[in-house]
Amino acid sequence: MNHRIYEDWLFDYLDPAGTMLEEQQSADLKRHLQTCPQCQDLSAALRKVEGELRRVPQAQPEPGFTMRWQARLQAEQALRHRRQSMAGLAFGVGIAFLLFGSLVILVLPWLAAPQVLFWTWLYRFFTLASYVDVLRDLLSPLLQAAVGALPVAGWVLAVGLVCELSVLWLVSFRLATNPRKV
Amino acid sequence: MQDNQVLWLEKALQGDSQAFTWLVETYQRPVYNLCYRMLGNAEDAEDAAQETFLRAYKNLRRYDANRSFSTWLLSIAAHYCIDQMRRRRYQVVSVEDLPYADLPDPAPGVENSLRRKEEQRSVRALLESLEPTDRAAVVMYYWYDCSYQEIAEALSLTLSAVKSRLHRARRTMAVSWQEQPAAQPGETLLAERIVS
Repeated sequence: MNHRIYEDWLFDYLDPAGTMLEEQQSADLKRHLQTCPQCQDLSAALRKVEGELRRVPQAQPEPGFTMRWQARLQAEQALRHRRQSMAGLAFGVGIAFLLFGSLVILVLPWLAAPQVLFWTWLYRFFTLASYVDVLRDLLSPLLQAAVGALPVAGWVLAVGLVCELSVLWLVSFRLATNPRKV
Repeated sequence: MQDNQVLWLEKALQGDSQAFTWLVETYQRPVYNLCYRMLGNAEDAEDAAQETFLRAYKNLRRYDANRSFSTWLLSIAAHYCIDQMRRRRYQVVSVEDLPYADLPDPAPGVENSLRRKEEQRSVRALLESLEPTDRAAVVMYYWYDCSYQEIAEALSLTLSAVKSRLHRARRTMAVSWQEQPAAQPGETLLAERIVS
């Protein structure tokens, strides 16, 4: 005999949230259970299991669970903060090494002939000075016109606005980067 | 959910950490119980429950306020425990080797204590016969009276998958119960009650 169909009906029959059996199916199941010891045993075992599961109360943790959780959260946050600091430090050191290495590679050939280096940098310095001179000649009339165009109060307002925006940026940055505390 | 819990949840969502601590206080027992039933011992359950609340705290912004908060917490706990059980799959531990007297015993008296321990051992043996996801579904169904829909949402399953998993779990546990020598006598009497 195929018991599987009766077993399925049995599970549905005993499960209040499961599929409702039709009247005919319930009647067939009851008839089958009266004659089949195997399914009788299964249904009895199932009832026992369900009773056992529903009887056992919820397990509860040892007292002080919340305090232990707070301590764990703080430890986790400290660890994450330390890891972030270490990562930042490692990144900085890496960049410093990279720059230092590049500098060494650039400077090494010049060390062989220092007088060439001296004259090259002297030439560059004077070239740069001449550029600055030309730039000053170009910008000074523009700056004079700009200063004249805006009243003193306007400049005070503009500088004040820039200062306020800087403070706002600093505060937002701190709020966004500071970890939450418990 | 009670009004004050809704308030704490709203405050916690706004970044109030003290409010989240109240939620930990409130939900510690159901979360711990799920972890305990899943993992089978108090030490692992404590660790898993703590980790559940940590994950919930970190991901609080992802919580959908239209869903039940307790179901969301149980979902995190269940997924974490399932992962833990899969990780230790190859570490074969017999139920006899696990300490079963590791829960604080609220019932005084030797007889009560022994009976409770025997119940805990028996339930643990039943749950141990199930695979992790089935075990989570059984715990949510029998201890928290979760509906099939809630279990499906918590375990990321379809409704039919939940039904078939519970079906299979019941069959497995019933067979496991039948194999226990002490469970045999008197069982047919219960079957007769269904028939009548």
